[in-house]
Amino acid sequence: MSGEITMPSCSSCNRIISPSEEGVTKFSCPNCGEVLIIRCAKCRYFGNEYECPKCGFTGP
Amino acid sequence: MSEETKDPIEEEQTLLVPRDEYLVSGIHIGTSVCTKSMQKYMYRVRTDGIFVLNVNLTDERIRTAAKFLARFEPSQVAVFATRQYASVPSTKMARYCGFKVFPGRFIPGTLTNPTYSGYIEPDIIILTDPRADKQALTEASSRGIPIIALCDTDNITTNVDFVIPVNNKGRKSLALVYYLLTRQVLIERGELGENEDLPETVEDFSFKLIRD
Repeated sequence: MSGEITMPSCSSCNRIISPSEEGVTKFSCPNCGEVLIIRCAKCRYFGNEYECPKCGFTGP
Repeated sequence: MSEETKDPIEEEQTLLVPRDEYLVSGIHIGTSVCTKSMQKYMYRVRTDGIFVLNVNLTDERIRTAAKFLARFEPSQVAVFATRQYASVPSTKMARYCGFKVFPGRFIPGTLTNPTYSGYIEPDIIILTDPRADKQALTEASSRGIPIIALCDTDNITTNVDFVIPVNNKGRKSLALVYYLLTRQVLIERGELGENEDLPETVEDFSFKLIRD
């Protein structure tokens, strides 16, 4: 098997997110809309910052 | 003129409304408390201990929020406004933009209980105050729904995905924020021209006080 799987990871802490994890949110970058931002439940709870790798927008 | 100092006239043109209009509505007035998560939006502390928000950041955030909201299907956006002063502006915004609006008390289970008749599955929600709309915040965060919130200096940004730093307690302030958001969303969608205004004024967006 040569296919590779890219696991989604949190945009703030870079932790790999399992498919069964709850409280995870996914949305396109509010500014450019080209990059998918993924936030894990923990980073959302603590209000950790995320940054768009393309336009540099930082949230929340 | 150096690059660091901006021409005041040029700076005025970049704002959505003149700076005076922002200041008159009290959009920048915070509270006597400033949380750590809201410190980056703070401009200064007044002598009476009131924290003041940075109007430029508020303006920038309103623009970005409008861009963000314009990408969603209008019927998949829900606005929650437990605060009484936000009931009229949020309803008007929903009417212009086609959003769903829930003024007043949030019925628990609206976002989590499929057996409830008023159950909805929005793609994104807007909260007027993360503290007043705590139940909506909790339910949306458990379902993984992105949250846009109007946050004052005393709010904690737990579970909020996009913060709009504004005074979320003032009647005029809420009217102006919702008015600007509505106008920008329609401009981003192409339903309104770049320099066009809505048929209604900011005053029409505000909650009316009736005195005997």
